Amino acid sequence: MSDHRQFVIGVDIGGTFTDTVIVDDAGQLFESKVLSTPRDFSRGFIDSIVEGASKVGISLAELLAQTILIKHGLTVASNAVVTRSGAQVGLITTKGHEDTIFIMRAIGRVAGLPIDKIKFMARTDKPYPLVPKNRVRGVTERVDYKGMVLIPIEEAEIEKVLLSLLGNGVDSIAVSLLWSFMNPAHERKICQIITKHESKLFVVVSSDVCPIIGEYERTATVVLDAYVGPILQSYLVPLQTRLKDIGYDGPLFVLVASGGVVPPETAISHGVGTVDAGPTAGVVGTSLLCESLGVRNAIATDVGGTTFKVGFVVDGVIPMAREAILGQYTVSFPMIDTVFIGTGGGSIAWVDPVTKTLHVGPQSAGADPGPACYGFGGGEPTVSDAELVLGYLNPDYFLGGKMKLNKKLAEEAITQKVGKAMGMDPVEGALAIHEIANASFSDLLRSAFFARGYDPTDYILFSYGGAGPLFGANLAADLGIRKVIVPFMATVHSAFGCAACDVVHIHEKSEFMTMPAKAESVNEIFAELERAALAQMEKEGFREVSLVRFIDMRYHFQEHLVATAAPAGTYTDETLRAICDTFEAKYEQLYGKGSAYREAGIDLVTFKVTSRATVYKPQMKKLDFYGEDPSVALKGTREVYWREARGWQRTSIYDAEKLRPGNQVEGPSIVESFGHTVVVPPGVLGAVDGHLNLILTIGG
Amino acid sequence: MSDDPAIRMDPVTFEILRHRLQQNVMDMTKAVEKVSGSPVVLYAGDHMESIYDAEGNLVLAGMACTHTTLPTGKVAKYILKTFESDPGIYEDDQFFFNDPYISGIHNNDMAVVGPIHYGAEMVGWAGAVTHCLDTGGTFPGGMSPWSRDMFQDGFRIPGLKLMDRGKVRSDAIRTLANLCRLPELITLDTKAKMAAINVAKERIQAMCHRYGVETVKQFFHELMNYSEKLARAKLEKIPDGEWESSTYLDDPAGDIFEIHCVMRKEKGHVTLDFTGSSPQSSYGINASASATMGGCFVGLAGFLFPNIPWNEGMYRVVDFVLPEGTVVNATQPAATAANMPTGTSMLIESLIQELVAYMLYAVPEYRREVYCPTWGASADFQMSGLDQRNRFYVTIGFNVMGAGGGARFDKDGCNSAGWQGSPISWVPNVESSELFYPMLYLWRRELPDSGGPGKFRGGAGLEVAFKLHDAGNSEARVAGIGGGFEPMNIVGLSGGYPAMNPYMTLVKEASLENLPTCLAEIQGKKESLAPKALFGMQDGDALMLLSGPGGGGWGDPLEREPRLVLKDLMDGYVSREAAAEIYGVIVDMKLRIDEKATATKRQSLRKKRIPEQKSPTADPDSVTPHEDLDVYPLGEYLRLNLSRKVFQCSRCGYSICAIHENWKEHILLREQCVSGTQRFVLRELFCPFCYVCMKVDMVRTGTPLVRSFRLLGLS
Repeated sequence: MSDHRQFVIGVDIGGTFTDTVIVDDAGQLFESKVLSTPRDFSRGFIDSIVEGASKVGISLAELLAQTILIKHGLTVASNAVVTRSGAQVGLITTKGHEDTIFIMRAIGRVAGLPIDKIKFMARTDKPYPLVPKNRVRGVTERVDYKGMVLIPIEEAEIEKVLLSLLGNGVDSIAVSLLWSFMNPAHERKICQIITKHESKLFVVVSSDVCPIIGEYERTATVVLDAYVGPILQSYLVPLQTRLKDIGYDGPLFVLVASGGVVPPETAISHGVGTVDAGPTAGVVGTSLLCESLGVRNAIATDVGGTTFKVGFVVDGVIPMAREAILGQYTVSFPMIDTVFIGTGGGSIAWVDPVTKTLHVGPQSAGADPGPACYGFGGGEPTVSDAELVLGYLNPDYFLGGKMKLNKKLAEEAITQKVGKAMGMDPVEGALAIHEIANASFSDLLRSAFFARGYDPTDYILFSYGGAGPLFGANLAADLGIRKVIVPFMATVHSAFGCAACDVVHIHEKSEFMTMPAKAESVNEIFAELERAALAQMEKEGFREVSLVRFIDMRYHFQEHLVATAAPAGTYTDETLRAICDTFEAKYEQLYGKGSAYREAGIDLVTFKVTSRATVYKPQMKKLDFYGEDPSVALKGTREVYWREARGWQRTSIYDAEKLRPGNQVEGPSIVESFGHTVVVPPGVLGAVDGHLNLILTIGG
Repeated sequence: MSDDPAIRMDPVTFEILRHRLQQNVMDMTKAVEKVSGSPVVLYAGDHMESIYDAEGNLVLAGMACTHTTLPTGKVAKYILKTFESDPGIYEDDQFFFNDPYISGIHNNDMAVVGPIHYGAEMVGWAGAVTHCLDTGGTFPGGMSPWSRDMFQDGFRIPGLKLMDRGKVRSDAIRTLANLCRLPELITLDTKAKMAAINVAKERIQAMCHRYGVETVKQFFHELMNYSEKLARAKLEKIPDGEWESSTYLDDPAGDIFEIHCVMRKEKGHVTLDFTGSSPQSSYGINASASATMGGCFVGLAGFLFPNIPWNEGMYRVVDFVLPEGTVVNATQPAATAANMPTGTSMLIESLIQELVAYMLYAVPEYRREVYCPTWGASADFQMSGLDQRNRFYVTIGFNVMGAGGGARFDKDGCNSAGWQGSPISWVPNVESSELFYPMLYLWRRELPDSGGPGKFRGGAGLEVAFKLHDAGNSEARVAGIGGGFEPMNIVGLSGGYPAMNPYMTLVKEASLENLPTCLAEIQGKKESLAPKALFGMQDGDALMLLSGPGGGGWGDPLEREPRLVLKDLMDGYVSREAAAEIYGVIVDMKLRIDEKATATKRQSLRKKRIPEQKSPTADPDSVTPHEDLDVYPLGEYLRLNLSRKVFQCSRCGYSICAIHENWKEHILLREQCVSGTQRFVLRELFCPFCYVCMKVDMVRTGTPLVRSFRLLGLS
């Protein structure tokens, strides 16, 4: 071991597991997986590094002494939102508009719910409020759509409002006034006065963190920030101290939904970015693999027991979205575009007693009681039960054998709940469940492509998470996708992505201009945004920073904004016209040929600058090829049901950890690792590349 | 019937195709939303996308505007019938359609439909309808109650080829643009619908390619049977009976019209009989037969059959009796433009909700689906003029989308919940409205006491006020398009009370410099407007309205848990006065419930339910214990005891009368006028023994006691 060996650590805490990936400067990777510890997440965090150190083969102290960077994806904030255990928030807003956060534009009753819930209107409700009515205060003030002050704000009133909120025992204050993004003076005044009185109080101001049009979404965003900020603070600050205590001197960075990491202070001050960051790391990991494999377009599918999450890489870039729905609240901040599409392996199969028809989902057995085969008392047959009965899952090698799956229970559940009513034996029942689940997942993926104007046949499917590679090949075949890549670290792929993330900030500002806009005004806005971006990076200690500009544009009359790439430099009228052309091309790509409608006029709405500093990129080592024969990795055979062959077939089972670069695995076969199972159906060829990724080619 | 297999095809293929078709329809919706950009599409969710079979039967509707499920279901059939020979229907044709006398709600609902071919064979149709913000009629925006005939309603096209064998007919597109005050908007809307049909076509063709044309056709057929089977099975679990009620609407002349409906449920079938409804009006509040059926389906699809695929199979279990020449089936050339959102079909939505709710309550497993009426009244405005950039605009307020939800049997209604006619309706941001239109919102809030009182309260509605801003010297032409300011149409159920009526107040020559945030702070000439009012607004005028009203309440408010009343008081959903006088809950200055005072107050409120001239006649011997029960519940406090063949109070067990009698003639009754004109009364019906409020009817003064429920084969 060299004295100069350096490590970067990525720790990704999920609902069930905490995954760690350790990368050394030679590009060697080590992974570990431990149970998450929701009561004190930092325990699982340290546990996973301890286990990681043992994988590297050195002591924890040695590992930490040589670690230059730790990057961290966390669920502390999501957890606080789900369990409603966040801070006591006070909200200050424009008088007359105190109810904005309760009205939720009415759509809050159903936002983000699946179709079966939305249609059942009698039982839909708004979420339990994050801030109660008695902690919202209106102040007399008004700014109009041009940013002109109509009613100036009075200091005395702010003080009165502040005192009454403090008397109410608030931990944090969110400030969101009408049109504050056009003129932040009133919000700044409020902030000043709060800081003057209570310098330690947690304050979030909408014109700082979310300077864009739409008072509901802006208010929801700062309320969530104020709700999770203090919680993040009480997790991250002690964690840093603890890391120092056990010998780590370097910085800790936190993963956010914008697709990068930020210092803890930034994560705390705009905590909403960490709430939905779960799928982010996996997508970043996918984009990094795309880069090294020369893949331009990819769909990243992360399937666990209870979730099925999707992200994209388009033309080498991860597309951004600007709204997310968190617990039925619509929040607005720049984030990478991810979609939650379903419930994965836990979806329950059931027969409608009236029509005797078989359905899968949308109910899920979740992790507890989970599928029948877990033996935790779940009597409902799930997709995972079907996969077990058909032989895709290995009952003795689930989580590397840490957990036994009970095939008998799976068969029994299928017989009781499906087979009897449908006149099917357990295998027929399992096959029916398997086919329906596959088809419905592919329908949902197709819609995710469609909503974005992407053509699936241009894409490669990345398949990871515990259950992803079970479905990957079938989904691809259904969607006309030719290649599936199972990343070499499929089960800890997110932690890998986390380790690989850059520091990313996005600065934005809404200001309305209709074409032909003044180039001068656009130049001023970008100059201001870029100054702010560079200043922030400098404050965090980064000087080598790349800047990328975007403008959210739309046709007049339309609500939909299209994020349009804009060049660097000083603009002329010519540049703006060229940006409009880009917008129209992108618009037609998204909404279909012939949908562009220049006669309506083009609006520039929000200006954005993404700043990026590369802290450390793992250099992935390419390994030498060993030849096509995978027999060293062959761990045995078992009977597997293949629908393509319409029957059982004795099928080769390979150990994923023993496959070497160049090995070829011919379908039908199964590749197992301790955390996931890759199904290679008949007619599909798997090949291991120089980075140990398994690449499946559909249709030979 | 119940032993028939519902599906005569491979169940796995059926389920795969069912999910796929549902997802395809959702993608059609997405296509419409993406391209249209119209605020009615985006905020009101007022659009619907559908797939039909080759005969034009609706195979699956989307999940946006349930009001248009049935009406759009007939467009394809009509085009097939009338266009087949001349000008002919070919592969890749598309047709425009907006004739509410044939199919639709009003002229604003503009549909595009087109056949789907696989090879040479027609396998089905796809269609989409959106509400367009103008119809080129006499009044900007359409939807005008002042409209006197169908020509003033706007243009009305019974089918026009938009796409001919794959080629867009630009002459047709330009013609539509010329007919409308918002040419860009109608063009975008049209393109949006054409795009949706293209999506459907591609997907259905892929389905045929993969599974075979015959399988797909069979699947369409089976999906309709599947819905029918589910709908019938649900109805069969409900005891046969009749539920009856009326609701009332006004026209611009102030005349009152009754919509009367008896819902008869026998076995797996429902008949909605509107006999007894008023003759049609000479104003635009009438509904065509198609619009009436559309209104009915808000109650039926949304609340009786929320979780079956919405299609032709659902229609098969419902029949309508719609007497010609009445407000529910107006004959040409009557105007129908304003049957939504101020007229007949809006009121029908909540009327059917009421009847469906009582029907569902009878069956314990359906009780969770009970939803008290909403939206039977509203106040909105249609405004046009020159915006701050000197461009013509016409828009509606959309705050009505913040109407409160109806109470449930076990919980309050959702506050500012959205329109029940479209589960995906939005209230626009104040900032979007102020950006696009020359207006400035003074306030927008959930109004205290707006939700109907009850053991479970109706959701609160939205009160808003705005003034013109940056309009220069140009006047805004405003049309109040409200309804139900006088009768309390959003009734409560099972002893719950109606929601507060909507209102509209214009303040002329107001001093608005300080941007008041409540009406009391506004100085100026305040004028209460009629629900249908035409007026101009200048700089310096303000308009205030309870736009989306609250929802109806469930159960006797005196039965509401005091702690819930206290919470409502603290959250501003109930005023101190209402807490005391309606709920009988006394709260001290430190916001604590005074339990003693509350008990006393509730006792005295109950006492007041006994009419002064009449001493209580209840015989304590008529109270039976709760055990021996073969009962049929008609609400929380009223039941039919089938073993004893009597109506009973479920709260105290008091036997009211024999099963064949009119129960309303045997209980305590109190009437209160609900408006200055004394045209309507609230009729409260109390148990003669325990004085619980069993039902609150809102009727025209002097209306005889209608029984409301009748069990078939029993009474």
